[in-house]
Amino acid sequence: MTPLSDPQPPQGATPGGADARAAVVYYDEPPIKPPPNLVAGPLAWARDNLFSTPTNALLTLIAGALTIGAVAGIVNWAVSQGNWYIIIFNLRQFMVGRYEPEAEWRVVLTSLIAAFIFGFALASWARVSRRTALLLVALIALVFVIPLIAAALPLPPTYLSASADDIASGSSTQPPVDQFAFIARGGETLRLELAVDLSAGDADLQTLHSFADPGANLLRAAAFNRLRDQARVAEIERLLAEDAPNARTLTANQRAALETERGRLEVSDPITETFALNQTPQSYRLLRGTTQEIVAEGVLEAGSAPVEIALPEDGWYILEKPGEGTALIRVYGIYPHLERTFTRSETVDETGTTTQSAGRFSQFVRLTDEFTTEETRPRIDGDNVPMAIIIDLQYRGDRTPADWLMLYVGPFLDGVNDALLWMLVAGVVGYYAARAADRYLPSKRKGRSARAVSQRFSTWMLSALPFIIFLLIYGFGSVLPITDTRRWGGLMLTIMLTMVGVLASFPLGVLLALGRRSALPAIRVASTLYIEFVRGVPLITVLFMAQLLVPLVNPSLAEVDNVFRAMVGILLFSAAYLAENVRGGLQAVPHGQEEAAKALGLAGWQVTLLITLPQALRYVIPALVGQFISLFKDTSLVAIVGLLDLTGIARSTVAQTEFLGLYREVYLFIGILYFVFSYVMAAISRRLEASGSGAARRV
Amino acid sequence: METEVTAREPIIVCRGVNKWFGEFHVLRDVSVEVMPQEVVVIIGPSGSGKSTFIRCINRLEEHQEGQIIVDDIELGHDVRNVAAIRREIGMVFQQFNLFPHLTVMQNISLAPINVRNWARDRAEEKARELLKRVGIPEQADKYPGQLSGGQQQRVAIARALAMEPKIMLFDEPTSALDPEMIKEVLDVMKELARSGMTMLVVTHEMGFAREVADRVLFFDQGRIVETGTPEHFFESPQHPRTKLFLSQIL
Repeated sequence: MTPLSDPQPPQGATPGGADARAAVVYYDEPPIKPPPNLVAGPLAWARDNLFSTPTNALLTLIAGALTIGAVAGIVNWAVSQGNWYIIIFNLRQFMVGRYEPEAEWRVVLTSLIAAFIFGFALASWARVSRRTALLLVALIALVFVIPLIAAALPLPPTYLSASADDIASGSSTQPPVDQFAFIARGGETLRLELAVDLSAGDADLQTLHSFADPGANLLRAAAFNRLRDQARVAEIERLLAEDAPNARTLTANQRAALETERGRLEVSDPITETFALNQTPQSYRLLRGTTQEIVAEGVLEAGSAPVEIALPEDGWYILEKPGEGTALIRVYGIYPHLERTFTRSETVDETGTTTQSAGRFSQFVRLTDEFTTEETRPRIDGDNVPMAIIIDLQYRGDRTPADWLMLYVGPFLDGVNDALLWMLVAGVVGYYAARAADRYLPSKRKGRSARAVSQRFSTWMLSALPFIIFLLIYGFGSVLPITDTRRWGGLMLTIMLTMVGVLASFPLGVLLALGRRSALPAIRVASTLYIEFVRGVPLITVLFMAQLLVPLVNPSLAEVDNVFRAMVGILLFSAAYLAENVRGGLQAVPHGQEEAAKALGLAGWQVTLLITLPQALRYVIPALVGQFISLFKDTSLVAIVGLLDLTGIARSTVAQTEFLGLYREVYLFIGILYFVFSYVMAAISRRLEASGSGAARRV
Repeated sequence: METEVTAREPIIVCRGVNKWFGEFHVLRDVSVEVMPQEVVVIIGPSGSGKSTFIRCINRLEEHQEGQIIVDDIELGHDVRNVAAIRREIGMVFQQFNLFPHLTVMQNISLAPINVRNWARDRAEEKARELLKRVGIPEQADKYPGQLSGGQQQRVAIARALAMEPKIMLFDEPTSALDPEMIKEVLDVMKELARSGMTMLVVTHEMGFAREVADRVLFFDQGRIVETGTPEHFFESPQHPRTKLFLSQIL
């Protein structure tokens, strides 16, 4: 750098030298340099952050192992075991409960409006980076591509057992199923074969994984158990052998225990041999379900080419397989289905003829592709023919990822991707609308930021959003018919409860907080009593009081809908906690703020409204959002007082006979839903904290 | 700033003001009169009651005995009087007490809009004018947290001036500042004094007192011990307590 005009340092005079006179240290202006690039790449990052000390390294490894273990376990189960049909089949219930189908468009409209407003707000307060945008596009593409891939994958086969006698193994017995009814689409091909490859005997049988009827599953399980026992016996014998390397380490007790176990385990003959599986040719007949006319008949022989039967029309078919010996028939074209009953109103065409009569209808839906038929279930000799319902024809064995993708993920995404696409479109339209507003609408005042116009709009729209949502979903006056709140349910009810709880408890909570700090003893005592009383009572009690006790207090209140009574209970509860959070914020505002405001001549209410409250609320954003997130989750307690919110729907879904006891699938699913919403709330709160003067505070 | 009257009437009259904090007698029979356009500097050791005294003048503290009359209005329990007087008195605090959630512009225009009911445009125009006067016109859209201490205190002065007060109270305005920033604040205060503002300043800046004050009040243990012009006060103090104080700080 250029030297300053200062004189050159005198000869021999070193800075800070022995002579105590003041000395100039710099004659040259030191250059301004960019900071050295100390951190290079992810490896250096990991070294500095994850493995900086031995303790840190140990903690990293433990935390990593725990996380990977837990996630891997759940994912593995979800892919290979979980029966996700319960989610796909009940998706509407999870979303809106039993909300009137005629009013469903209102939910759609609400979602689109919300997506538009959030897109708009995003553009006015934040910017979507190119990376985020690409990630989003990739994610959306995946949502559309996965169903395409899934549709292209071949469906797995179904294994049906055929036998002359009961199939018995251990303590389980399955009677033979000679006739088996299923639904299929006209034009489809049914493929039958005996050619299950059993060259490796039980080892092949136990790895069988696909749809299987109970008989086939029993054979598979028997093979699995036998091989497991055989392996254990071999292990015990190895341990007990005199020459085993660790024979000396076995104590007498351990040896006795092993011998007892060895005595208990009986390894039967191979299952494939016991049942002489697929050794006998099997005769079969395929009948049309309604008329019982024969579509095809013949004999299946091991090793021969598969039989292919073209199905003439939609509807029920019966496969007859009387069974000689025991066999596993591999079938392509038979899949589990469900019965669905619903009420339908009369449909009359223009000529006045009734095309559909009113009443309760029943239809059968094939789970793999939602093929639906309303033909009645076939009966032979007055008895229902056993059919391929989900309980009996489950996917058995460990599912492959491809089967998981095709059977569950594909259909699930297929069901939701239209909605996602439209919401995305609405969001993107909102995003660009905001940018257009900033560019083309004149800003009222000079000197404001470039996004001031859209920010004003988004503030208005975000404030109006809850009212729009409520009025659309509930209805208003004569314009939109009022909906029956008893039919509200699922995610929709959860969101409504949270929204009303948050919005209504906010003013009440702030008033209570101010009341508790009031100089007037009557107000202070009343606020304090309310807050302490409500905080001393569990939410569930408040909800029960709202549902059960309130009608006793005043019978006219019994006419108020349960949903509204729950809302009132939630808001009264939430207000007390909110008041304490806000009070904490008020205490954190320095006293000088109030003094300065008073000294300027502001009246008491102006000081509170303009100075202390805004600062207090900003201090407590993290606490408030935390409270709102916990309120969102606490709304699940309304399930106990009989409302069908997300948790209530979950409880009622796992009680359906078809899906009895599929707790893990359902609770994992609603867990993910709760998490996604809570996470979004938390993310918004972080943005909020960093906005306005919050951004200045970070400087 | 031009003032239409060079009134002979005092604008602040305190007669026999007494105040206690609990048992502690913090102001003892304080009597003083301040004329319009007069600059009064109050000095004294800490705990002597000088801050409490000027805070009584806009009733941030209540006095318990005696009379305080500001601009012909007596301060008492009548809330309307208090509000009327606070409109006419600006105050600058040691800790600035700017509103951190508002921009500089909003800090200054808040009171004119909400107390004087000015239109926003008028208030913002006034704010810009005042920011230019205190020398930081370019900081209008920043938040206080983004300014240096000296800049914050100058904003605080602008905020007080925005109400077009007749009297300005300064409560140790430079005590919380780094030495390098004290001068920029004092320069603004000197300019304000020259423009004819009535000022009561609690400070430890003896240079400022010497240069600007019309009168110096020396407080000790809640009393006014000595008063006089700066020349008289600094050159030939009479009271032994004043002599001791001056010998310690000069």
